[in-house]
Amino acid sequence: MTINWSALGLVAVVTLAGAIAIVSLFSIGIGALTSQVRAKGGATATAATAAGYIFLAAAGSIAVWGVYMIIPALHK
Amino acid sequence: MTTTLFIVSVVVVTALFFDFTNGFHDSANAMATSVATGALRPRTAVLIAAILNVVGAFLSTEVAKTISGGMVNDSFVTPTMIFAGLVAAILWNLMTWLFGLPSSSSHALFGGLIGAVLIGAGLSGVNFSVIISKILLPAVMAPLVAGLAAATAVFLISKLFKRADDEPAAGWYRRAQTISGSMIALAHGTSDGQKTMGVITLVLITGGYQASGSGPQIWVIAAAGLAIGAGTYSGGWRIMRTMGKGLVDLHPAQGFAAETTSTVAILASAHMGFGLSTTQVCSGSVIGSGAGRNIKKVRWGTARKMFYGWLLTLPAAAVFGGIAAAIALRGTIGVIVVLAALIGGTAVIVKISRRTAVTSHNVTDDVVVKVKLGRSKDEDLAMAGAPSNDGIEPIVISQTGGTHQPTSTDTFMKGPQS
Repeated sequence: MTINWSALGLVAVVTLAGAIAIVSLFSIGIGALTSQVRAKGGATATAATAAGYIFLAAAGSIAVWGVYMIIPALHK
Repeated sequence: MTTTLFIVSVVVVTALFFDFTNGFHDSANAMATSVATGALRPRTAVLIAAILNVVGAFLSTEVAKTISGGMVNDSFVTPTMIFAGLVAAILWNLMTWLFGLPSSSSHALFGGLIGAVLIGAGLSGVNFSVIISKILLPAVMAPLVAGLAAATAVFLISKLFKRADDEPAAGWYRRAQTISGSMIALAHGTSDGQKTMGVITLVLITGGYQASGSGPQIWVIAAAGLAIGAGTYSGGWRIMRTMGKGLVDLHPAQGFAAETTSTVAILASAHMGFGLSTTQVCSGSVIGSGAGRNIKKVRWGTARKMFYGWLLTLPAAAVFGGIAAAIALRGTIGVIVVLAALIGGTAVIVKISRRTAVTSHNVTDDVVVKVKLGRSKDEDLAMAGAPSNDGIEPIVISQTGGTHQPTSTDTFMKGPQS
């Protein structure tokens, strides 16, 4: 019986790292976008909005990469 | 009609029926959490999942080259054995659906085939070590891996982002869920849709209707895609209730974390050579997303039942497959008898399910999927006392002056004839 333990370990590590990365990036993004500082206006508000969209874009780009990985015709 | 054409036709139709059950069994994987958190309305959710499953079926070129992934020796497998295996898998899928248990359709199919091959070709046709490494171990590892990742993600959100459950943040998580759930549906279409295409193509080749080594014909791709899409659209609401409401009470942030974890785990396992069942990954993520917030709030009783269901799937389907093969291998009459048993069994299970129907309207109203097998008075009373979702029952009770007998309620519960 051959159990591919290294593949199993890799799947576990990638799942853990990937899930935490995407969820964290997205949460930081909406944390910035829903932050109270935006109500006050000015430079801080602009910075919060910009940072929010940058983090959302980062999470989104991982999702786009996921679609690329789902569709075999794109990466084979 | 020749015998070969008859059996090939029967297998093709049965394979498409299996694909349909596969669709409604796995609808919950992609959409249960989105429905539970209110990110999508139930009908919208299954429509999106159905379309993406059909699209996925057409997108992928990775048609399954073997029927069983090495669990049985494919050179021993005849179309009649495949038929017996499919019948077993369908019946097991329907039974687990009746009880609202998420279980792996692939494992049911493997189990059915293993049973059929054991009867048809003996012990040498089955590779038991592959069963342990491809079924048993992943069944234990999938919920652990996905559960741990989802729990960690949810734990981080709950500690670092206190406003996650309040609007407007919750609204953002709901919108993101639409994307994460859709990705699971698409990934499902590219993998599970291919399995049925592979089965049909192999049967056509065995029957001499298609050149050996050629890919699936366009009608096979279209039929398999539509079967899994139709199954997905029909919703499998009983399973969706268990996954979305039965295991954990989910908030949008948890739903998003669970779906994201599932997507990552499915993609990682598909690309790194350690295949994990989509159903088991998604269930594990849901449990993990609950545990990461409050481990005591997870309904462990439901989780335990589900886990027993996973362990039972392969042996139970194998027993069904063995019985079906023993009858079907006796010739055309045997095949007809098994076909009749499939139709009869399906009718009975669907009829029982209607007594405690779960639909798109009441899917999120309760946390348990009731099954009413017999007609004991106690159960009727319990039913009469339970909150009604159709809003008509109170009128009936007042008409009978509150002294109604269980039998009148029972008649009412059955519907139209009252």
